[in-house]
Amino acid sequence: MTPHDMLPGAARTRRRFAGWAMVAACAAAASLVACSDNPIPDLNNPTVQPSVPNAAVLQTYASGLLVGDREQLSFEILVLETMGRDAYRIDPADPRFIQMPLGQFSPGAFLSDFTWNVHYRTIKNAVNLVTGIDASSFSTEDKAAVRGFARTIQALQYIHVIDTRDTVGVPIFTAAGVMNPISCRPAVLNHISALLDSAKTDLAAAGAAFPFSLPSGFTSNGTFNTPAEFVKFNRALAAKVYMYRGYATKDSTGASAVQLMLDSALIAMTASFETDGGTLRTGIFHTYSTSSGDLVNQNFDNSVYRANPKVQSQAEGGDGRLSKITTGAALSFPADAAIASNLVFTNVSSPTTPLPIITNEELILLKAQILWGKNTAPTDAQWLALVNDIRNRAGGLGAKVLGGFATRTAMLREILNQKRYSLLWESGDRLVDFRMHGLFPTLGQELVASPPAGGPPMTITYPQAELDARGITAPVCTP
Amino acid sequence: MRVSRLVIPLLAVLVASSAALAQRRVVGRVADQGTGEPLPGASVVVVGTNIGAITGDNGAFVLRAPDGSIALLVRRIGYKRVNVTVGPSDSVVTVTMQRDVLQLETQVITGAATSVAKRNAANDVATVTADQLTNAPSPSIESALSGKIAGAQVIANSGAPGGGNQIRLRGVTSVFGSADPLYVVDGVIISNDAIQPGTNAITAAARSSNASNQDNGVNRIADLNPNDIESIEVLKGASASAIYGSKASNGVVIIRTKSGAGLGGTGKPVVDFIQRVGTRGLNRKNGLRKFKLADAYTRGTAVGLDSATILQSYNSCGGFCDYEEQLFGEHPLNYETNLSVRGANSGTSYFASLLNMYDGGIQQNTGYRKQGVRLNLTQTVTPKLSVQFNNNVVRSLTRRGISNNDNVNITPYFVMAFTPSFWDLRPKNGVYPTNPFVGNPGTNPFQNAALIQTPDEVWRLISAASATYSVFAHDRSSLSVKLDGGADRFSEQVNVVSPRTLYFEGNDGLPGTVTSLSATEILANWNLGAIHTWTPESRNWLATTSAGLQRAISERRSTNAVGRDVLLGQENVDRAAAISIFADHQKQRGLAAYAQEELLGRDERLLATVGLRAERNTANGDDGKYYTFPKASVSYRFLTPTLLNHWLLRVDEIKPRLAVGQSGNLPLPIEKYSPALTATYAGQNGVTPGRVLGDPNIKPETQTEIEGGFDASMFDGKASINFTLYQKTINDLILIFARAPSTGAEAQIRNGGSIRNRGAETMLAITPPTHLSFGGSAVQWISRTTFAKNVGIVTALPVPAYIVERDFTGQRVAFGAGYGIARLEKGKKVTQIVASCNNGAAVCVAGDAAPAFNMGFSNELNWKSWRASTVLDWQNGGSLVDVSQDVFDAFATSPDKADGGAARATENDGKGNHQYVYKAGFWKLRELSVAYTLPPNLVNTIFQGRAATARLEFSGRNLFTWSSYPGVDPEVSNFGNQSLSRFVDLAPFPPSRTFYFSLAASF
Repeated sequence: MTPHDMLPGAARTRRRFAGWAMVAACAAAASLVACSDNPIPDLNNPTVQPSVPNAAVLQTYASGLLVGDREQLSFEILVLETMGRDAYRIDPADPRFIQMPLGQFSPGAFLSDFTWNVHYRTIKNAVNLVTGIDASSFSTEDKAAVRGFARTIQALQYIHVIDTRDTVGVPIFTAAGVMNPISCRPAVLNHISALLDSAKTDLAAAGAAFPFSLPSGFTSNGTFNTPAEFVKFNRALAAKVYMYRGYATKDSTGASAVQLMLDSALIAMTASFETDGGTLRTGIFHTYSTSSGDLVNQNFDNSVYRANPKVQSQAEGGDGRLSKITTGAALSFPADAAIASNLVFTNVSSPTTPLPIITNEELILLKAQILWGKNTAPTDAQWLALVNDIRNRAGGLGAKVLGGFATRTAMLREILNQKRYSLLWESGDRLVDFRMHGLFPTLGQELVASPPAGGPPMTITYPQAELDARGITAPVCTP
Repeated sequence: MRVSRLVIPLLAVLVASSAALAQRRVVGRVADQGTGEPLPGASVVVVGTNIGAITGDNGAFVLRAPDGSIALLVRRIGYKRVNVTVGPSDSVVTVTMQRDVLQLETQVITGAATSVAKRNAANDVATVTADQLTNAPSPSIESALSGKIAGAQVIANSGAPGGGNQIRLRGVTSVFGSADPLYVVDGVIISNDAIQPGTNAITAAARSSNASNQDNGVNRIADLNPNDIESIEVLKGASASAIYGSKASNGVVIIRTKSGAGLGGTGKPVVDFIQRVGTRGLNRKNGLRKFKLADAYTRGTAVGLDSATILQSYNSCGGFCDYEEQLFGEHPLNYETNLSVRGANSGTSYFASLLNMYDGGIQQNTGYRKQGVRLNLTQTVTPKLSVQFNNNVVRSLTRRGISNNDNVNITPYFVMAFTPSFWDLRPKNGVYPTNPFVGNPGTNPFQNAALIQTPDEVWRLISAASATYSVFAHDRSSLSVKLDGGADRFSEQVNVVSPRTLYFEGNDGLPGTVTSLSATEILANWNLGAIHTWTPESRNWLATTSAGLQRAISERRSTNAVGRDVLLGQENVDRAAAISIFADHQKQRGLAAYAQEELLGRDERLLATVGLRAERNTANGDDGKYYTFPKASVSYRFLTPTLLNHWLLRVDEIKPRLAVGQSGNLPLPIEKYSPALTATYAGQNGVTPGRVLGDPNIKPETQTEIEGGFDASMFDGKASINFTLYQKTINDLILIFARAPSTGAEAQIRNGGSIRNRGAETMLAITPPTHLSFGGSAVQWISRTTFAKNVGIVTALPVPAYIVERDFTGQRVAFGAGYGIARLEKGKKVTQIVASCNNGAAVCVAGDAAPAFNMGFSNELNWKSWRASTVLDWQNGGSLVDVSQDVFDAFATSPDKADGGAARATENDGKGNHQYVYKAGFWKLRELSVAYTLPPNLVNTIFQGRAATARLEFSGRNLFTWSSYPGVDPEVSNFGNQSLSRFVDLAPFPPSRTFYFSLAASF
């Protein structure tokens, strides 16, 4: 073991040492061999495989897509409803819930990444699923059904991110790890339409049933759990996106292009589950549960969530939808006396209250919103009838007549007003609509103590990680 | 002669009996130079031979010495070595020894199995001895190190009872890897993990209900009993810690517990008894805004209170309810009882101890209770074989309440921030007032403190065993083989109970929360090593060769069940209406082989060492690959150099030294995988891609350190100075770098990038000749001053600069650039803190988490039977992000501005919005103690002759803090121990000062 252990006249020692050295060497060798460690797998989590070998794996993918879509839904409703002046989260623990949506967003704050990251992971999941199912041994019909489902959910994710980023644009995901340039809004909306259309084609080629099961939110208010029914949900989203393409791009395209888009929207609407005069609550819902590993509806907490007092003060007298709010404990935001409310929401009444993805009530009003843009006498009559139907059935309000509106904008505002109360605390569309129709400035300032220069934000910033990875401080889109 | 300290007594006994070479009999006596007391346990060796003896109870020894004039070397722990010449005709010697106040004789580790006296060491290894550790009682041993070691920054994560400290040795050595040094107790690698207690189930700090890094958990080194510790050695960087390979990148803390050895071998047992009684009190406050009556009306009316109610509350506290005083105003009765017995008898030596202590907190329902039993046993089985067993059983119960970040407005500082201080929250007739300032009924922090239970119980067993076999021990060579190992296993149980009657509990629709967290962890290691020594005929030098194998495994499992919607009085999680279960399992195995050669030559003046360690571990991407960690060092003692020897600067000896070495930091077992996320949706298991992409080829971070300096002893041993310069470079950093989330993952793990730490450390120890005397007795003054400065720079980064927001599991480690966050950037300080500036888009440097320098001042005065000591700790610079203040500002309740800070919340100083990044330097009086040793006749009277000595002592810890930092404490960390992001202050448990009165007696 050492070079200098040979001492003169120490033969006995040498022998004994040699013996011990043998023992030590054997022990060493034995432990080296005996202890060759088996690899230790990840003991806590599965690793996602791109392959879909069987129905069980397929189910985890399909559920995973819905898990992803649901993850921040309540949070996004909160942030967009704050920006759209319907809600506050007055939370001593985190003043950013007020300071940012009504003042200025910071890329480093969670509001940016909560409304971004999960959607791209879900898009990646959908792309993986499509790749996996195509390479699998499932039947052609099943493959088509899965593609149709996956791409519809994928499109829905883009709707979420473009709703919060609008003209800033967002990147379009192509493959895992690829950082694509930021696409401007028109290209993004095009992409969403293409995804939905491709999904529609697949759903048409699918069999009678999905090869996986869907949660109760797809069957509780109507039936949307077969490809033939699910495609009506797909078309409902398509109608919305065509409308966006019509109104949102009207400045850069000619009037005829706008009309073309609105017509496409109406065609899609016809193929959706929209039913004039039909049950308002028919639609697709995300459900929540207190089971282990499941999610609860985060928008139930009367200690911090409040309705913006304008929801009450700007309502038409006798609107039955005001039952969605009631008087509770007063909350104020001492840093800005203008932020105060004692109105709590009643329509999210427990941690397991479902939240709609889209309902017939929204679709009826969406249809009215599209028809308004057609700007013809017959279509005006049509949208007025739809609006009066909602006024009557949802709000218990009397009918309006066209002559009562001084301008076309006044007509639009009536439609948007119905949307506000029908979708209150269940959708962020008030912000999206006001922004799209150029009415955002009319929402005014909420903060008075130190109002943001240039008004409150219309969009949420990019997450810091996205900016850092791109080496930029502000996103610039490529048309 | 120098060999492993464990082998010294054995070899001494052995060689003393090898009388064949000895020719004559020499008898002697060893005594303390100051007191004349006999010194048992001193080792007496004939220089140049293996002949030696150990003194007995009466300080006497007997030797069979060679003919002619001989030189005796006498050594004893705690004393300076003495060389005595014995003439050819002399047969009786008397040796007096001086106390080693400068610790030159302390043994320091040089290899896996070898050690050397500090005067020879080629590394700057810091040592702290028992008497320095227990001057002022501390709940956890790290706090007893504050201010005592140059290059060790010891900081408390909160003021909650029970511990929770971070030791950072020579700067930031990893970004995402383990932040803590390796702890080795009597050869067993022990766990310093912090199992988070899961208060997140009620605070929702991390927004899920599983335990989170914001739960203010205690790192488990707190379980050790400081009274059991004989010495602590701190290896500060790779040049010394290379012997521990890939676990040693953050340094190594080597703890030796007491033994019965050194008592002389035939003595009667020594019984030590310490009884302490003390208390705690709030040390420092954040301060609260005082409201004028008019402002109170405005605030009260805004939440719907009527004028009469406002006025009534305003008057009940005299206009100002000092919630901090009221909530943190407890003065618990704390105590500590420590009983130990040690002794040695013909081949057996033992140390046994019992501990029972309670350290109550300054908030109701908080406290720390610890009980421990230890038995250390060493037995010489045959003259060649000795075995040692060390066993320690500890039970601790920690209750720390709730503090830190919180998303449901219940932790004390959050409630204080949003409640204007005129609102009286104290219970009246058993009824807790509601708090309309956070809804109705809001949150009452007194109700929370009274009814929320957070018991965290740990049972722990640390066992070490070793067997040393002397294969041969000859005149000029020896070989011994040592097999040692042990295990550290603990189980931890936490049952958080938050009854449904608490005002906030109904907010989530599921009133009442109970949890059941159960964690077990085991670390085990064994080593097989051989040490061979050889010296040539000339005896000019000694070669020590050591080699061996080390096996280490670790495994941790935890399960946390969280139940909501629970009936009142129901503490079983199973009865909850909604139950969530979380589980975690980590495991790793490693094997290392090492070889080392040491040369001690030229009359013990030269020490040269080379060593190599090769190691594999299952946590690495390639789990069969061996990574190597070499080291080399050299030092030389120049005795009384003429150049440095005159009246101004009289240097006894000076030792330049140089050491270089490599160590590593293992990846976490999970980092080679890309785990998917799972969640259930309506009973179906749903899988989504993970946020973090792993690296299947992950390998350890490698640290290369070069350290050089000198140690000098001056003025006849009355002063010593250590000076060290070092550079440590960490390559192949394990980075979790941000990716564009739009690529489908938010972060990716890979090796890459480098950090370079450069620094200087000095320690000056002096015993100034005071010439002062009172009442005819001289005053002895011992003073130690440490200085350390470290600068860490990111010298390479393979990815664009990015902010460090989350750890490898995706848990947050910061609250975003809006407040202040770490950002890795090539060419910049690794500890820089950046914050949003220029209207939110860009980030600017706002501070530096690392201090400019640290200094520690320890002083001890001895006069007659009195001893007084102090430790003062100075941190110059360093920044903390005071997120707490933002919460106060947002609710206009900060004490320092007319508008309660509302203006600050939105102000922009032109450079950016980083108004919450504050300088966090401080001076702290860490320790103060005054002890009085009772005169022998009084001891005799009191104890009726049964006690040998008795001492009374008053001591305090963290008595004063001077800092410009506006928050409660410039040390706190919301995210607990962190490699990098350890600078966030958010609603911490405030610090306290502790006082103890003690009686210590020896029997």
